Amino acid sequence: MTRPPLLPEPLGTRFVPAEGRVDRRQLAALLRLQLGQAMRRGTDPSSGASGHPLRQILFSMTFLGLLSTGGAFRDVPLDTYLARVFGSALVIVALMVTAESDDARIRRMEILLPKPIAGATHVASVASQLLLLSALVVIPYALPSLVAASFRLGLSPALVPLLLATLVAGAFALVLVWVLVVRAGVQHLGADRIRMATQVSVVGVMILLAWSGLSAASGEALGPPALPGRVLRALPSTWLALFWTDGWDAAANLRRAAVVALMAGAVAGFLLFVRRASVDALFETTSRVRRTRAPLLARLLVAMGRVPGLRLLLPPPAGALAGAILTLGRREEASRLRGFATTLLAVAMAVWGLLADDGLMPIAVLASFMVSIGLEGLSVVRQSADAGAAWAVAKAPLRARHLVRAVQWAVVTRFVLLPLSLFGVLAFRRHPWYLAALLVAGSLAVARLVVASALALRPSIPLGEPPVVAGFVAQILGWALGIAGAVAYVLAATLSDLLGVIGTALVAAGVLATLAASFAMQMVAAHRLARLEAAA
Amino acid sequence: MPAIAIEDVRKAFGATEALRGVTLEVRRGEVFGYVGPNGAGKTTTLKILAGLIRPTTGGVRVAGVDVLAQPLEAKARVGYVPESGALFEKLSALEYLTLTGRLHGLAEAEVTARVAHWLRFFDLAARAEEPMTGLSKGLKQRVCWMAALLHDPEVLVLDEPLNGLDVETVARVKDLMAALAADGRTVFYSSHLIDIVALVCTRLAVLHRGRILAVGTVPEVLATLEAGSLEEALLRLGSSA
Repeated sequence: MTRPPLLPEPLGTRFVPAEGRVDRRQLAALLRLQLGQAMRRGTDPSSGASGHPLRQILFSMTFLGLLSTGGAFRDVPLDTYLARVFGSALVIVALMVTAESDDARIRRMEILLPKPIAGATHVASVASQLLLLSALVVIPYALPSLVAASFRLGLSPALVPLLLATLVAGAFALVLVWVLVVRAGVQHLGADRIRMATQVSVVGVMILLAWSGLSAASGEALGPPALPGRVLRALPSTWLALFWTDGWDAAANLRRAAVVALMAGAVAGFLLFVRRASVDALFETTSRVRRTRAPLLARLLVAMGRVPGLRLLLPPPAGALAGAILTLGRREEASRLRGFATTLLAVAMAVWGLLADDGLMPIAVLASFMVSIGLEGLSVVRQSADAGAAWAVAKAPLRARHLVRAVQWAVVTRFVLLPLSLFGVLAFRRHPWYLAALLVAGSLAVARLVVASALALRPSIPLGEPPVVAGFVAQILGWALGIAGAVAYVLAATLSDLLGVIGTALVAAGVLATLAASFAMQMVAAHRLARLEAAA
Repeated sequence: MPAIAIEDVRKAFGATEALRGVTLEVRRGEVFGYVGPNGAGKTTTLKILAGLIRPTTGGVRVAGVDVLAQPLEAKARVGYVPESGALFEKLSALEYLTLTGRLHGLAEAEVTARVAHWLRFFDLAARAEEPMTGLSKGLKQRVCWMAALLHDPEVLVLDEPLNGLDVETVARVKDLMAALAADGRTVFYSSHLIDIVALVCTRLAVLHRGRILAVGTVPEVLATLEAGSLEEALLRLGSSA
């Protein structure tokens, strides 16, 4: 029978792989498909954020690794130093392996599961990817520390590659088990919660490590508390770290045997699970579906717009839009994690400020956050992975001034409120109540001014831009502008201290001027937004 | 031997029963329509045929191969166009299709020839080397079609395959389905576009709440459901859902 001309020549033989065997050609194709999707520039289907994941991993891990070399510049014993490097590297690599979002997982399943791929090939692909991820995370992180240790702490340079290989092997064994833990977590708690928990933990651990490294390098005693030596020595990560440098006595050899057994156990456990539960179990994990509702803050803002007295502050349309922006932001991963690092730093500064009675630094840093987090918050509010969200805003019967106020309220309540409250706590402890009240009001005015000015400079419909991770330059610029906020705080406090009532009056005048500027800029932003809408 | 044989298949997701004893036979060389209101269980059936999920009970054979006992044999014979239009979008269409061909075990020369053929057919050769993130929904849907056709499947399982396609491509795809059927391939086609289903399908089944209500040609189905048109039948089912 001749084939219809639309169809190509029929296949000679049909390929069916043998179950239980790894097909190398399929494995190579699987890896190229999945690594291309995971590591290349583009939008991540799990988070909706666009960026270059490979560069982000290499850059952030190298940066963190360089910060962690701080310990090598103090008189830390080599063993302790290696134990800390290995321990922190293993924690980071585990936390970097998180659950896929349900949507991304289902899409991946729809592509791969209908293909005739043997379970063994799937497992080999998962394991290869985990091995590569382990290496990508731990090598740039640990290499600077090991090199620093060879210069400062007498580590033999010949041991550096050996230690790196050992660390990669340990990290690989750990993530094999961790994948199963994450999978169980997804089944019981849902992918969304697991992703949130691991991502928050990653940020927390990174801040802790950076803090620890910086304080060690500068010789400050204000670093986070270190683990007691006894606890550190009992950790398997320490046994792995000292695998090549520990003595050769019976106890040391026992620790070596134990860590090898643990790693072998991790690999065996993974393979056993895959064999017993079938390879599809790795892919078929389903999350529990829960009912969702708008976050409390969003509901409060909407309710505020309905209260007669408060309508002046927040008109109902602005309240409703601010609530919608906050709700969407909470549900979109790309925006949910933004500002989190600053918030954690704000909490750390507040704790520092409360512990160190006369410390000017923490309160000044908190003052600087009003600018940087205001800018970061605005960039989040401008973005959404959902193209329809901006359309809904643009086509809603809203006046431009309501748009501006909605954006200001959304940014202030979600991003600025916590650092501002912490700043208030420290200000009321440090200064007379009237000055503290002025400083808090001034900080709020600064945050509103920053948002309105940025909107006036570059007007855009809220939720109208695709989520993009802020570039390094933009982040540095935000922090640099924040320094102006810190300087303003120091200036205001000094004026009030030196000139008494006159100084305080000057501060009050400054606050009023900032408020006036904020309202003026709000009008400019509304005018520019209205032109943007008209053009659309 | 039927191209698709589904025998008393049930599928439960927790307490929800998506399929409640579906039994169906599709002949070789048929374009078979599968219609029903939202939530009827169509996509669940298609995912079982494509080997994405396993039925809770019941048996499924595709091209004479037991999907549950010999899943790899069955998958080698099935092409699947998912409703979601899922692709690894950071890759180019050319990379994606080439790697998909390798996953199906095609020889390199075969991969090159077949990818080139389908790129020409779906008029995507000019943009084949761009990352697919920049392609429109319709162009991505064409890539899904190509990926499903690369290994010359005996059974093509289509879930809303016309999503986003322009008029010209829809016309080509209709011709393609007819050509595949004429070549002895079987097309299992699920869609809400009942006009097109009625036009291209030799027979169809109507699914409602996980059960088959009617199977046959369009007049036979209308007679079973006592309706004047497919639209009327589905509207009635939809309002009772």
